Amino acid sequence: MSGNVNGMIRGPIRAKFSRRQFIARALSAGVLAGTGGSLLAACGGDQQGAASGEVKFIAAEEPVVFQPAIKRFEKSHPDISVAYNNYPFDQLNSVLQSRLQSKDSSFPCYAVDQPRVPGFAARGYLTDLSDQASSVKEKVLRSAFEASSYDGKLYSLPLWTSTQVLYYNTSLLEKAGVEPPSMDPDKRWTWDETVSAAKETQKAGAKWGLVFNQINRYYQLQVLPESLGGGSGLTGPDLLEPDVTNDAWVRAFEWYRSLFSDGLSPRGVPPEQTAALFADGELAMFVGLPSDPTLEEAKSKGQLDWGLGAHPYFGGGEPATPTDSWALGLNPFSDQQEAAREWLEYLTLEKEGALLGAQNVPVPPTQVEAFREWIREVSERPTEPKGWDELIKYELDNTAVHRPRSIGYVQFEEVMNTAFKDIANGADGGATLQRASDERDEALEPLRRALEQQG
Amino acid sequence: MNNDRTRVPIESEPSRTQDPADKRAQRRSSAARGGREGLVALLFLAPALVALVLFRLVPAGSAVVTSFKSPVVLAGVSSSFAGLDNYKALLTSPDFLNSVKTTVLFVGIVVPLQTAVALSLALLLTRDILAAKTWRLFLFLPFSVPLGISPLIWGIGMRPDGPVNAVLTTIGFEPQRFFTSASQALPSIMLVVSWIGVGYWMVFLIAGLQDIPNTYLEAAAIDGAGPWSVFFRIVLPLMRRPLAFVLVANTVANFILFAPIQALTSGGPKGSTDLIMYDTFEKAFIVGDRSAASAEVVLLLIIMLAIVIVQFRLISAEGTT
Amino acid sequence: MTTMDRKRTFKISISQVILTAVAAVVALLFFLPFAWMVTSAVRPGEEIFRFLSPLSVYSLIPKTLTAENFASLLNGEVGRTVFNSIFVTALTVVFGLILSATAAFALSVLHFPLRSAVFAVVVISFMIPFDAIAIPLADTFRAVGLQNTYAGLVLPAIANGLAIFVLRQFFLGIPKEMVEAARVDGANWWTIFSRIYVPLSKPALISAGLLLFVGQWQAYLWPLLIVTEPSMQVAPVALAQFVGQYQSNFGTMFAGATIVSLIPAVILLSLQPYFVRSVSSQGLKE
Repeated sequence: MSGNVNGMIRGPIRAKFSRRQFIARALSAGVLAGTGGSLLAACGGDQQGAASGEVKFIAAEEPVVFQPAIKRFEKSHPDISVAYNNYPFDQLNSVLQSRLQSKDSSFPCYAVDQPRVPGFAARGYLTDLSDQASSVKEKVLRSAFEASSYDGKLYSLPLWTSTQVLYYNTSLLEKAGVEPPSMDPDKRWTWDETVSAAKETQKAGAKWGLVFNQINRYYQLQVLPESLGGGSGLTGPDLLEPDVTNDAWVRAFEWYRSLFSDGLSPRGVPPEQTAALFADGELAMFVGLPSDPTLEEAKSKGQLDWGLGAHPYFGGGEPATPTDSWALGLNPFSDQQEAAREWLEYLTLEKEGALLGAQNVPVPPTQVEAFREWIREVSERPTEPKGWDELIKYELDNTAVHRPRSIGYVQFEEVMNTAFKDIANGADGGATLQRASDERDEALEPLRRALEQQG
Repeated sequence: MNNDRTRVPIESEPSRTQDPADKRAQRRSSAARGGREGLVALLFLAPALVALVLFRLVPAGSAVVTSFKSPVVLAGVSSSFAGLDNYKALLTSPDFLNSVKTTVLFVGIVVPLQTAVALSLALLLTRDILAAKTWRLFLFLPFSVPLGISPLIWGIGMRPDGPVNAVLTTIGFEPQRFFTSASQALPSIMLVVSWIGVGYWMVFLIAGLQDIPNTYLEAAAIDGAGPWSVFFRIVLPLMRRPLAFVLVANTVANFILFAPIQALTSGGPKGSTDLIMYDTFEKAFIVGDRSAASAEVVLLLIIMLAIVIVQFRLISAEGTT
Repeated sequence: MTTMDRKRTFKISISQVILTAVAAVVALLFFLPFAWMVTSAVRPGEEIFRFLSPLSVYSLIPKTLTAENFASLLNGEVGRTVFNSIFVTALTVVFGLILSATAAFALSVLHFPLRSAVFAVVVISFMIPFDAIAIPLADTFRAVGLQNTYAGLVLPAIANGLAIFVLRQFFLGIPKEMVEAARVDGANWWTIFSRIYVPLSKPALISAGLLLFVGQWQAYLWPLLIVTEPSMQVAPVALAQFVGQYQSNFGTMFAGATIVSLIPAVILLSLQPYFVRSVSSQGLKE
């Protein structure tokens, strides 16, 4: 569904927001999707043949994200039609996991969350794409290539990547007399500096001082202990042994807990509602995606003015930023691999496809040329400060930290997110991490055993 | 023409208290009738029975079988018979025992609470009051809102920085922590679930209340009985069936509840809202361990069956089912 | 609206007023969260979280009114999914009632060996959490080609042991004399069922219907598993779409939820008159 008409100014092409143009475009996309749909119904046809037929594609984005790319692809590949099916973001991973475990062959390609690639690969849910590895390597960002592989083999084609920056509310900082953070990566703030600035703004009247976009989620918080050298939390030869009770982890999460207990961050606000805190002007500093649609919209509508700083780090440690996003994989149980592969390659390896596919999302494509183009276009938007593109590129090249390439990632993330939530709500950092460690140890045991058996 | 039936003692409902002689007579006539009515019964029952078997029992059986297998963890490592391993793991796991405790506590409070409130509302809204239809509509809305959205609304409302606390502080109370506190999270879930459920169960109780003939109530009024007396001596006994239904159905519904947990607390804080079904859902869908999830469901079923049987016994002991 | 008593003394008037006031307060309290949702549906997205706290008149009254959220619904698949939900639920209620009423009749009026055993099966079946069997059932449905079909959506929901239970309880309360009399007159079982039991059972049919309705209307997990075509999806799943990874559109979601919620509530309201005690049940209870 085309959902938020207002919010869709994410495309780099649109410099100025025009509601009328928007609705016209959305409607025409809808009409074309409709006719595309009836064409699909007609050409259910040949599903066995190489590189032809109807390809079902599953992901979590609104249809408007992939429609332009699908249209263009179908024009140049008249024998193949792509039927896109989206699931609610919260459910996508579980539904995919469930269907693949049942060896559902009805869909040949799907979006896989990059940290889940090892787990899916180990369970046989992803077709080995190593025959293309060398050519893929040249066409996409190196880090994205790594994030789509497991055990030395390429199992998926990277689609997008991500990073994080520090937003600040210009007027709240001014009111508090705080010098804004710098976009220069060498001059980035430490977390201590960030916290004291946040406290100043709260003394001067800001309701909240500092909030993470993806509150209580491993994606966002992994970089805290990493910055202190505490590692990703998984260790051992197969990254199946929990390691979240070392000093760095405990220190990082005691710090995290203090954000809430000291009143800088509100408790009980889920990730989807955090951006609104900043957009409503109640929050001084926000750690989020570099082109967060809600915040861009708010700025372009004149609701508030914000600026950007580089993602903070722990003084004495190393800067670390979250990264990675979706990759696309082939379902080994399906017999339409050829046709699906062509579609996936178009979307991930060809500049035109990659650019079209990334027009309506706030994250850059990983195809090298499309990436450059996308970054350039977005940085030219009036809402983005100068030097935005330099910052993004720097972080992606230098400070980005992947999530651990473990086949037990899902169990790990699940337990850790719950632990983070408990810590945010006031539980003791050390004790909670210890409990999480024990729980996860139990959960990961079957995986360790299975790997041993495999030899 | 089944003339012989007129000579048979009138078949009263099987659960009415009877003396042994009548019971024996019944059984004899039952056996005689069994054959004839059996065929007709089969025809009446067939569609539903087929549906129940195919769409409930067979997959349940499959789940039970899965519970005895080891989890499928890697490609190429197939699932093998694991006996009672999954069950042993659960029964020795402090997390599972915590979720049993939490679930029983939850159901033990929520079910009587909701039933009592639903009954009170049913009584209230069947009085002679103005605009009863409107008030009833307001009570139908909560369970009509999609289940993914009502917890979301309450989640927003009960945010520590949200409107419920705003109201509380205006009145002069301290702001509460609701879902962010281990002691308040479960009661907060109970509140959300009750908001949804009370109107729903009320419908069944209204149906039951309106089935009570006016004549009884008028007679009682003529005899000068006060409202409490009417309630306890006439209304309540006649409401036994609908109440029994609501009690059992409500118990089952709350035992298998997990959607609000998923939406609001993810089992926390500190496992205080970790209901069995939520844990099962996590295991089955997020982690992908169907074996452990199936074992957990079987255990849940056993617990639920025990409680429902007790409820049935209590209700039939009073005379009607 | 039915009334219990209508006495024309002054006393009842006062109590009528008091009771109305109590009912109004309670109903309004229950209505508040829904009202907030509707308010959020008619205001621009950025205002939804702005007035949560401190309390102001704008917490519940929109500062800026807009129809854009509802308009957005038109652009997307939501309309189609609402139709699907209505259609699938209607089928579920109709077939579910037929199945449940016939089964309940057999279990309450007819006598046959193993009757208790069958009843036990019915009771156990409604205790089986659907989410626990969803995966194996979905695998089977997929294997036989019921994926993305209305049948696939409807079939599991018509097997509702609780509906059978409700109807059976009600049927047990209908006196056997009526059956006896009819049998003496030579009526066959189907006639007894359709001409005597069913017409008398309107409240129970509505209750059972409600069970079936809500079970299907609120179905979320099953459609997720069994539907892969956007055009076959149902409303609750479509609404979940509005909470996305990078951006959520609460306004449009609430607009959709408002429409989706009103449908069952209004239907139930229109069935209110049928809840009236059936005239023939008077004097039938001993």
